[in-house]
Amino acid sequence: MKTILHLRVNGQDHEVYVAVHKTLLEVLREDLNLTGTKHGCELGECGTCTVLVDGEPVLSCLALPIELQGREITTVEGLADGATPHPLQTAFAELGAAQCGYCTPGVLMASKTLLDHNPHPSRDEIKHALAGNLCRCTGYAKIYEAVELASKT
Amino acid sequence: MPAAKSYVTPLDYEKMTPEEREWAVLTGRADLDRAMKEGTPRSTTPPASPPAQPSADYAVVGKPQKDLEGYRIVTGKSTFTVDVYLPDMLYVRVLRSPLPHAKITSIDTSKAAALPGVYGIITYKDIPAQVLAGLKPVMASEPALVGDPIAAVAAVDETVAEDALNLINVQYQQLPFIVDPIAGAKSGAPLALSNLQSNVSGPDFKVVRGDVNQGFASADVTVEHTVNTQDQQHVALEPHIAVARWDNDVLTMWTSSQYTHAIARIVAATLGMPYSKVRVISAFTGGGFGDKTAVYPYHLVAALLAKKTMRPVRYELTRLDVFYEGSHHFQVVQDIKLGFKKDGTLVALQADSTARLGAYSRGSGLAGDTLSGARLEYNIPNILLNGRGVITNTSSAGARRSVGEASGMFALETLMDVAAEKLGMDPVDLRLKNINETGDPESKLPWTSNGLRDCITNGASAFNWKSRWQGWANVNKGAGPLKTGVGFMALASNKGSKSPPMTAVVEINVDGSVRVVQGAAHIGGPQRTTFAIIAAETLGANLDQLSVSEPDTAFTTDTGIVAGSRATKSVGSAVKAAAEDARAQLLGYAAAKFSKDLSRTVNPQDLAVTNGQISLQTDSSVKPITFADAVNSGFIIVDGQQVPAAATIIGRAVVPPVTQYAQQTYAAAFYEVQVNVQTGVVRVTDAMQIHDVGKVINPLQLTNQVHGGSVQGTGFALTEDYIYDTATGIPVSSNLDDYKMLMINDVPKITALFVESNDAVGPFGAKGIGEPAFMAAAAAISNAIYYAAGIRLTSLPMNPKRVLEALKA
Repeated sequence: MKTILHLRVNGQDHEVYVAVHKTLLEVLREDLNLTGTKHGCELGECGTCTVLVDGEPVLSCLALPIELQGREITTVEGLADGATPHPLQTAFAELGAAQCGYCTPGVLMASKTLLDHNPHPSRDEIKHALAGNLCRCTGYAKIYEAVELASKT
Repeated sequence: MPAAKSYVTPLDYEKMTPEEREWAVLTGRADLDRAMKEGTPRSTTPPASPPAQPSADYAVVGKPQKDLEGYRIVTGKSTFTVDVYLPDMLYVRVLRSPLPHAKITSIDTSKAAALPGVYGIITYKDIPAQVLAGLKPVMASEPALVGDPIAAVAAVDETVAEDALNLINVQYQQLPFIVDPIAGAKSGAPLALSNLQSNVSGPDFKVVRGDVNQGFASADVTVEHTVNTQDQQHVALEPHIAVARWDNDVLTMWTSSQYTHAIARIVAATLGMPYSKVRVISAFTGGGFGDKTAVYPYHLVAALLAKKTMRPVRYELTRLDVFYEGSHHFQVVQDIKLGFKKDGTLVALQADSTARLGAYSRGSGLAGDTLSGARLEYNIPNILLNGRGVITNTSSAGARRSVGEASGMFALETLMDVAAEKLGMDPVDLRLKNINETGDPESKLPWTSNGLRDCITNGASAFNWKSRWQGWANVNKGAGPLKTGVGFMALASNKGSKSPPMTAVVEINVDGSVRVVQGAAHIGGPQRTTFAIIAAETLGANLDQLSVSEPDTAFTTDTGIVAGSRATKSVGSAVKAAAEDARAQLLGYAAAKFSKDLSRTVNPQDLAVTNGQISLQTDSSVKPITFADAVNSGFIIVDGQQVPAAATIIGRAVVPPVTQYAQQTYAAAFYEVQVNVQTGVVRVTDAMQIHDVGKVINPLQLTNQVHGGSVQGTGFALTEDYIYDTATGIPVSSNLDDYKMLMINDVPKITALFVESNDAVGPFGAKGIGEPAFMAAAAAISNAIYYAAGIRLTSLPMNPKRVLEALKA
């Protein structure tokens, strides 16, 4: 069964006609062409598909867009201010905190919520905020450093 | 090197699959085989390595450089294969076998085919017999593992495809199956596939050096143990995926790959097409670790369904599909025994290795790779090594960050620790006493370089080993439930070598910009940045003049796989040689321009290139010119005459294989652990790896490789375990909760240090890093656990259950 949904993504209103069971991940990628958000495990176990809903991290592979009408959805495409990258994006790129880069959008979104709530987090607070995001390349050390660098800008 | 004659099982290339041949190249077996067959090497005095240049002499090499692709990645703009959506595209889902071994007695897809939105279905009945993915059936008629593909449906979306799978009726006749390789190797064991004579695949891998019995008879101290290392999945975060589109007789395939050219070549051969008519694209690859090196059933499923429906077809595997169909770091059971003189001199090594191959890997090469480090790290006059592969009803064994060496190094380096205690020696001193600094005793070829001694001594000093390790009398001396201890291992590896094919093109355009054209995957190294650094340094160009091509077989030449830690050394060698060719042409143009402008003869050797400027070394009053000036003052030859014309410079290189050296990478690792003797939980609290990388090309990214390798290696040591229920053959940890990997909260401080040994054949003296960083963990952690808590753990992972069992024993 298909239905019309009104979604607000990265500050822009969208009207989409989609099957009601489609996940937010699928609608973002397949219907709105916002492919920055990635699929990792489809079971909510890896954190790769993390987006923000009203500023809080949500696993988009487990979220149903039909429940998110009227909410503010933010993806990695909405992180930069026009051509100016978000300080987190700059820090991740400069320090090599993104290697293959597949987990990076999810890590960036979870980090954004952390810095929005807590502009100068400790290592333990970073650890707590990002404990749900699997990264297979970096060994996480540069991710700590990048979040810390971004918190200073 | 010992005078005793050696024997190594020769390779039978005719019986090997393309994948096995690739492994033989990657694991150094092909080099060894060639050297053994050719007898005495062509030259007993290979060319000396060029003198090492201090890093200060380089403009770009050795300086930290961020990934040139970094901003594309962090803004979500890097195009992974999963981001390829084509107009009119169909989506695929695959029905998989619920049984570990069966024969399909009937299969009915008629109801599924009638479902609206379904456009194509394939089963084994639609696949010609010669169409295999390596040795794997594209669609199985005799499924040989839980998860073998049975039927594939292409539909308007994944939901319809999934619904269609539920309408397919399959009847199976269950057959006996085997999961355990030791049981499977015994006569009378159930056969993993009905066409096998035995589950043991092919002749044993065997190395004989000296006389191992005499060696042990002469030993004062003998130690031995049995080591069981586990099945692991790579869990590259981008799931395996292929998107296929036919344009008449040309197939274009986007796939998340470590080697586009091999995918194109093998898909073409399998489908009976010219290689030139299959185009494979892999702009960004979301992790691989060895799992994206081969052609899998999913590649052919996408190609065949796209052909059948004449629409673009996308097959993105689910995580469960990846666990089933992806390759696996294979379980290995190793018996290993070492003999020493009282003073710690190694005199004998015997090792026997049994590798679980899964259903569709073959031969003894994988088991052989577990034994390679033991053969080469230390001087041992008497050796007997045996390795075999056993076919089982489990997911197929394959290359995984080190292939077999991580398991072999775990067995050897934990036993070296046992020996050090029995000999009453510091484990560091025992390694230093026995390092093989000369070369490969079997091939008689010298090392390109060997920095192991410096790795060990520099590391011991930086880790403060002498005060943190307080002698064997202080094992398990901590009070309270949290016990802390330190451990050490040394490492030699055949990974990180220079191996063919190595090709590249370097273009200098009319505006002076430079394009490096090469076909290697960008998978986190970050490879394109490494190649830009190498080309910029060679040309004297600025990094911002450079761009590096994405892998696309339509536009790039085959420069081999990004695996075996070979990208920097092998592809880097090709890029360097192509840049040297381009530089020579550039200097030819520049000399002609200077000659004309100054009305006197200027030779190319009078010129220097730095920061993108070409200057006359002999006369600093002459204004330097740019690359663009030089290229635009060039000429082309028409009817034997030089005609002035701007023309793009094309430098090219096809680099020959290394035949006069044996290649190894080296490392030392020092780890500190905390063992909770009440819960059995082990945490790494400090980690240090010291790698002989030949030459540091990019310190920023090199350090990142060590961080990532150390964390994956710690996962191998402590948590990751792909477990089969032996009663049903069903894997029970095939999701990312039960297959436990380290997260950010599990990671200690990791220190990466480097030794520059100036490799004789690497670009600027460099060698590889990816796999050694993974290998330099597990044995050091096991040794540290022993020092902390007095328990020797020889099965991986060293999880709380095993720790508590060992504490009770």
